[in-house]
Amino acid sequence: MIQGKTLCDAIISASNRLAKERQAVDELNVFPVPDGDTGTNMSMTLAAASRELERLTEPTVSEAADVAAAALLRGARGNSGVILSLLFRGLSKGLKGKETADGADLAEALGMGVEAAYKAVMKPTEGTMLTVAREAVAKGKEAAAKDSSAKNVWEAICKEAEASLQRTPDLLPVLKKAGVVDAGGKGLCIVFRAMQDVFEGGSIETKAGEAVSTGEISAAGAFEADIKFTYCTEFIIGREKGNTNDPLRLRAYLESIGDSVVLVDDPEIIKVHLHTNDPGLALSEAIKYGQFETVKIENMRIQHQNAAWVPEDVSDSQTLERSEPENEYGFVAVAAGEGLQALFKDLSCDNVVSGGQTMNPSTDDILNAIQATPAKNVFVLPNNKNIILAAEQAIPLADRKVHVLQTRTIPQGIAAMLNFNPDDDVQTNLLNMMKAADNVTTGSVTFAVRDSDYSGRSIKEGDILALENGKVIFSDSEVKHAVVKLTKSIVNTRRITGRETSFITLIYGKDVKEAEAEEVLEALQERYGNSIDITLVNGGQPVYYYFISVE
Amino acid sequence: MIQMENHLGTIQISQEYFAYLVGNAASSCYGVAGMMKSGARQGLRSLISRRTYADEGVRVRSQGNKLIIDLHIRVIYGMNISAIAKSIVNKVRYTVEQATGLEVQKVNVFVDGMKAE
Repeated sequence: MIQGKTLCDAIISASNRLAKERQAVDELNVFPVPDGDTGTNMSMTLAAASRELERLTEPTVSEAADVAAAALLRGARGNSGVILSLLFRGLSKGLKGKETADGADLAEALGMGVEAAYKAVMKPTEGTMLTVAREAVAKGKEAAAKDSSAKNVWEAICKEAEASLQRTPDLLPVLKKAGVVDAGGKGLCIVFRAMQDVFEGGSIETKAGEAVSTGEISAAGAFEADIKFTYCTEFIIGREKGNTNDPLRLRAYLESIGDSVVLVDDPEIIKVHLHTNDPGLALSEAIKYGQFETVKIENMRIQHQNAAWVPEDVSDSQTLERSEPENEYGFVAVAAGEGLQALFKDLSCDNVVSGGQTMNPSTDDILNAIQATPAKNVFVLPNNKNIILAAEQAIPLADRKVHVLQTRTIPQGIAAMLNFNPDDDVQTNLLNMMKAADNVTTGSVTFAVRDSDYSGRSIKEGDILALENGKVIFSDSEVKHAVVKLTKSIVNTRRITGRETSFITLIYGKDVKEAEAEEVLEALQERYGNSIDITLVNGGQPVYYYFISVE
Repeated sequence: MIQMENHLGTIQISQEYFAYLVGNAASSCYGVAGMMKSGARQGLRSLISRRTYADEGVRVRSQGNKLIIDLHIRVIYGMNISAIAKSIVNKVRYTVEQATGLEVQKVNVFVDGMKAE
């Protein structure tokens, strides 16, 4: 029999497991729109439920399922999230009023979820997570007829889900073409499997840091429990004539509300440092002893996480500390590669977060960079469509105004920065910057990471791919040839659609030698030298041989 | 009628094609439990003939070379409407841009009804 607490733990565990593996799921996402966010959506949807469930003590299964379903409904994101929320709503309906549940109950309840999930669409597409859930439930019910222990039934559900997942490419051609299984189905398998591990008596999956997929709990996570008081509070009080309050009494009071109290009693000032959970109390008591000269309050928990979650390769180059918003405008950009990061810094970007394709920074990384930017209005340039979402999540978390520009590529980000005018107001700037970014056509040259099929042509692993605005245009066997051909194609397409081209910027990556890049530059100058300005920049970015910015 | 021109010639795409394309894309979107008739014309048509048309609940207009699409849909109880509306907008935009190469400026989703379970 499954107790309410076990179900809670199972769902929390599933949420944590998915959070760790979401990148793998993201990478599979090609249907219905290949935007690579299924894993993220599912994981965030489940995280909403896990937050609520953690608050429950001693729930019945019915209560646990109810709370999960309500939280999932509110937190649903994307198709996969909505489907997941419907599955759990069925689960909560099926388990209504039950104290504990066995395998047959679970399979029956999940079946109701699948039914609801199918009803929500006019023309269900098979070969998606719908199929995976449906087939898994059918097998689960069969298994329940023989042995209705939860372990046995859920194992059957897991096994069938995994088998069904492998069949998805046969049902949905776009999956086969891309050589992947369905992303939502994969996510569902992870969820089922993580739940089964708990049902079998395994331990709960530990929480990973935001977007960190290493699966190892950090030292900071373990250490966090040791921080008893959240805020490190420091201030200096200027002594006033005639104020005879004895600082010793202040010290005694402070020790009653916190620890690590240091009080320096000077003839002119009193300097105080303490750790407390309510800095307000400390301040209102301290004001009785004179006027504040400076006050500094820091959240040690956040500092702690930051210190722990900064990826290793950046941790030595910079540590970000919160700074006061002094200027009107500031910028945070996301870019990979030293050259590009330096380029953004040169364009007066305050902080550059390291990241890009295949290495998305977390909301936390972006938030830290925002907090370290001394400006009232911070513009964020994600420069990758998979990072836009993470950046947007930082908006409500930051203590200053944040504007996320929808820049999907590095060249768009650069164009946006160039069109910033500090004399204009926020709205005008946002508009101008987006306009500039939209006018840029981005070409990129990279290599294929797996075999797939594009427009009837097969692409082999290792082939050179030429992309225009993120879409594959052609594949080639040689980088230089691909760059020249791609640039020509972009300029032509722009001409047909009535857009003039006056600048081309070639940004070459770390796998390209300078001499090779010069050759490409010469080839293009020969063709366009008279009418178009062509510049070469060393971006040092990984993964992409070249970015081509055409505007 | 939507017209495009390139160096090879002119391309015309009829209103009907668009309505059907969008109708098909929309009705296969997750969360669309049904389409609702929009406007007097579609209402009248359904009175005269019992057939269901693929362009039911779909309106496509063009402004310049950009499309504006209105969808009138029905959902089932217990769904996060903002989440599905978002994904419908994405899917429809993607399908149309993929099929025709035209830019979609707006996709307006109207939730006109609910299907009880």
